[in-house]
Amino acid sequence: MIRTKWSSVSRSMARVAAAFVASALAIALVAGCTADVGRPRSGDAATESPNPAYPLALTDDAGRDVRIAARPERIVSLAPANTEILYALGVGDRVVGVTTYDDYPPEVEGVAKVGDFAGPNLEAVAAAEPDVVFTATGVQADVIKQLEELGATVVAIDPRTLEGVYERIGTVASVVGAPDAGDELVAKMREDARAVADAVEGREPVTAFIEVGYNPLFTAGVSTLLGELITVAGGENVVKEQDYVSYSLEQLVKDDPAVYFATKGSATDAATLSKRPGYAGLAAVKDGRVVILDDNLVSRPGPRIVAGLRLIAEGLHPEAFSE
Amino acid sequence: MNAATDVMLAYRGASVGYGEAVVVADADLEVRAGEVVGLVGPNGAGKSTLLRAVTGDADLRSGVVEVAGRSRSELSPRERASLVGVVPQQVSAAFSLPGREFVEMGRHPHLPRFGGPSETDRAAVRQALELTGTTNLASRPVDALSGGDLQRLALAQALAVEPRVLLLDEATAHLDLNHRLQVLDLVRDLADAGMAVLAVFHDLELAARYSDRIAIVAGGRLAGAGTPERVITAEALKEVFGVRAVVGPDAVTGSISVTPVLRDGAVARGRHGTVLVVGGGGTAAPLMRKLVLGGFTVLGAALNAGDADAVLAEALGLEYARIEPFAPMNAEAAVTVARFAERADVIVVGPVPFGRGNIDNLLVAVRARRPLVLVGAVDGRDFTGGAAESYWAEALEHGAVTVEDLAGAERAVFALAGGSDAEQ
Amino acid sequence: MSRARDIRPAVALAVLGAALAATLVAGITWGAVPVAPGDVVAALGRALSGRSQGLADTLIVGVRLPRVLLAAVVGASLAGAGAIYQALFRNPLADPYILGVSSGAGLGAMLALVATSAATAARYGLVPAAAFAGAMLTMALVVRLASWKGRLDAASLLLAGVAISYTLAALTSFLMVFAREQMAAVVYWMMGGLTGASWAYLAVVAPMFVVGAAASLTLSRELNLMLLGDERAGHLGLSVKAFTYGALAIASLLTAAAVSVAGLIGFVGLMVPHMVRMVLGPDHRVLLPTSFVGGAIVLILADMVARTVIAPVEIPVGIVTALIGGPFFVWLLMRGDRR
Repeated sequence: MIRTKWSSVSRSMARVAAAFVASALAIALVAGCTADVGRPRSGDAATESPNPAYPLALTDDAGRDVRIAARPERIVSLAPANTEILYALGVGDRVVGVTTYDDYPPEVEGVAKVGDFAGPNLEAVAAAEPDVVFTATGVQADVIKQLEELGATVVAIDPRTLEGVYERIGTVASVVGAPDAGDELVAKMREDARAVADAVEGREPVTAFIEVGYNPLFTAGVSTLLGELITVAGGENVVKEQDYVSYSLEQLVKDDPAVYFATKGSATDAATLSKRPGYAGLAAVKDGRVVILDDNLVSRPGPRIVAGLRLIAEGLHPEAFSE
Repeated sequence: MNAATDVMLAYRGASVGYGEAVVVADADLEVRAGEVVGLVGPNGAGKSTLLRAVTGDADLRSGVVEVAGRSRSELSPRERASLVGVVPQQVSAAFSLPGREFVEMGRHPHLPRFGGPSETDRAAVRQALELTGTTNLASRPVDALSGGDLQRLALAQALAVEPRVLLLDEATAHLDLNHRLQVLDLVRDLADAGMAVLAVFHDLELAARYSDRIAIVAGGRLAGAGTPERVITAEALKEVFGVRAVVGPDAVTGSISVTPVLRDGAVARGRHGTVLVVGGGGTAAPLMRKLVLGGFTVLGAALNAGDADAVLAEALGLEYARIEPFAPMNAEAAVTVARFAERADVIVVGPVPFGRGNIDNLLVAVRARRPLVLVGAVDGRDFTGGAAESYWAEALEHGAVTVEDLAGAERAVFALAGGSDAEQ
Repeated sequence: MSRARDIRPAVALAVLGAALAATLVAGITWGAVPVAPGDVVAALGRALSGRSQGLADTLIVGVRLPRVLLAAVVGASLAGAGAIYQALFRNPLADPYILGVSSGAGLGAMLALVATSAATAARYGLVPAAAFAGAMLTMALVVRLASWKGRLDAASLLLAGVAISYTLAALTSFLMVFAREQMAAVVYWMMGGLTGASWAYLAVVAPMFVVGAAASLTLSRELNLMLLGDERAGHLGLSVKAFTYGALAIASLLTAAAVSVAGLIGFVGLMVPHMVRMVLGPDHRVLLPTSFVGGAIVLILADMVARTVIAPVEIPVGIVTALIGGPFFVWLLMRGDRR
């Protein structure tokens, strides 16, 4: 009796743990904080008309065909990146609900909270009477389904590439009826990105590693947004794996990247890295080339991603930005 | 030898039980070196609890238990274990250690905190194996042994302790007859060599055969110990166990033989007829037992003391006209039988031969003019020169019922006096 | 015949000792990054003479050696603790986490993660300490509850352990609702692994292991007596309650030490004592030392697989222990049945 019970406790704990890992990582990644582990996903095939005329038809990042009947007046955003896009487009006054994870820009503090990223409160979302709800994908897949059943118009925005971010900003702009603001924002972002690219143009790529979680050590591989940022910023990611992976410390020591990036959720103090086992010998640590990145800049697929790109580029090629 | 008078285990005003509950109150008992004291009594009376109070498995609520002159509570578990060997009713051994190592566990109280068994310890184990005849089990894994073999190893384990007191808690209950006697003979020898043994027995005859003294545990009390002959009596069995039994010396062993006849609890209630049975030489004993079980009040005609029917009548607590062994019926006995006949609703004459010594039983039975059941024919049973045959004929004239055997007699009695549930 | 039996454990220990040495060497030689055996020896030599330098030295001395040694200590602690718990509970399914250490350590780790909101160096030092404290406190609470009425038997311990486990696990989940950002960290911690291995961890855990292991080896005779049952053990002079307390304390120390640095690694503590028992029998004078050595070997091997099989990506070592150990255990069981 007791034995059976006990073993079932252990088993269920293992199951719960596995479920937690999956959801926790998905949350962390999409919400753009601490530990990011990605999901396999191809690029974005956004097809939307620049024509602001409604009704508007589009395919979102969950692969859903969505029809927007009229200009939405009441908007709920369930992902920090989406919220940043909305404010950057200048339609922040129409945002009537966000999650507790949404912390930028500062004005968002006054907006009603409808739950957290992983578990938005459906009743609170419904009570906000949104004309459109912007969500992420992955951990929010269930939420999308539930909102559809409630009759809400849902648009999933979750780009995985820099180009995808530009495109999706256009999508959001079209949906909310601000295509010009969208074009303007994307143009500015492209300009900033180009400035970074120009600054590092012709410079020898610098090897780099980016830590998104420690103990166990997690890193971003080549097919991730972070990985792309490193490449664009004139770096060479020493990690050749796909997606976000648990990485061997031995391999890191062998790879010995010139620059070591760590997201703020994983490490807040560059100086303490040398105390970690095996780290003292890393060139990046010895040369003082450990850079702590703000997760919110490098992980959120929103307007500030180019600021993140610049941070990474500055870490890789400080001399290119010194003047 | 001085040791023979040493009190090795003593209960002095000991009340033992579990937690607040007292199972046996105010027990007094001494077990001396060299003797086997048996504890008998009904299940649940507290025999095992008395033993468990020695090992600390039961609580001592008041009084003292002394081992080798020292209060049990002063002894550390190791000290106590080195003095007292215990053989439980059953040991569990769901692990695959060889018999020798199982027995060696008995040496635990003697072993130093650090370090293994010495040559002395090994010798003690060897001797315990030899004594119990289990040397052949020494290298066999204990979880593959039969219950009997394991029990003998448990005894060996207890003996490896080299105890001065041995507690047996129905230790032979699960052994076959041969091993049971082997173990108890060994225990007897150990006692004769100076060990003090306190043993709970399930079997009264074994208790009587192997114990120097026996004490009965019943009703929350421990009665004073005495010799088996004094303690195990028909009255004691009736009182303690509610069993009517024939208790007598065993013809072969000279010990006590106990033959349970019936349980009080099995006697049918609510039947009030009285039956006088004329028997003798054991011819009517089965009928008397059946009728008592059937709820009848059974009276016996004149019987010689020591006669099989008389022994049974006594075991059953029946009234009968007692005459001296081998003596003929006298006038007094005839009068007693006549009075019984007056009280009887039915009289049964069993298949007993009639001679001069008992012909008066038949006479009184026939002349009483009560409903009469005659078992068998009189042919070949008349050793009185015709008197029995003439009384028999007279009885038939007056309507006596004849039946073939005792079973027929039983049916006839139920028909004549048993009321509606005669056929039960 | 009895001599043959006496020799067998000695042979087994010698074989296991040699196997442990071989496993240690293999664990240090093989890794995600290939290092030539000659370089390994050279690196170790330089480490001994205190002149470490270069990649091989960092890899071998800074990364691989502490990890392999930590795997050995953690594996040995878990297997030894498992053997003790199985004897005390006379329950073949008893594992080192049976008294709720998993939930206690988990809550401790959670509290430490919440208390150190940022991923500073303090966090990586505080979490193991808090997990250790959580594990020990939980076990003390469970034992206290189980012996409330003065008795201390296996059934009460199990029931108290289950009750406390559920409660603490619920508390941890409740805290997660408020600190979702820490969820991934807590869950990773609970899944267990040796990725955090360092000389500093080893310096903390190794002394606890040495003390616990040495103490437990002096209990083997009494653990044998416990096989007979509480009552029979008492007949033969064992103070069962006091002994149970002591043995629980030692097993708990071993478990908590392992858990604090490696999280919850399953299977080793449950299965290794079984495997040893099936081969060498239940005598704890043999079973305990061989369980320690066996646990060390199994975890070093499992961790080798975890860090090399799809290198440079690592997989949690608990997955390896279960994936390889489960079928192996079944094979042992079937082989035993045939015999």
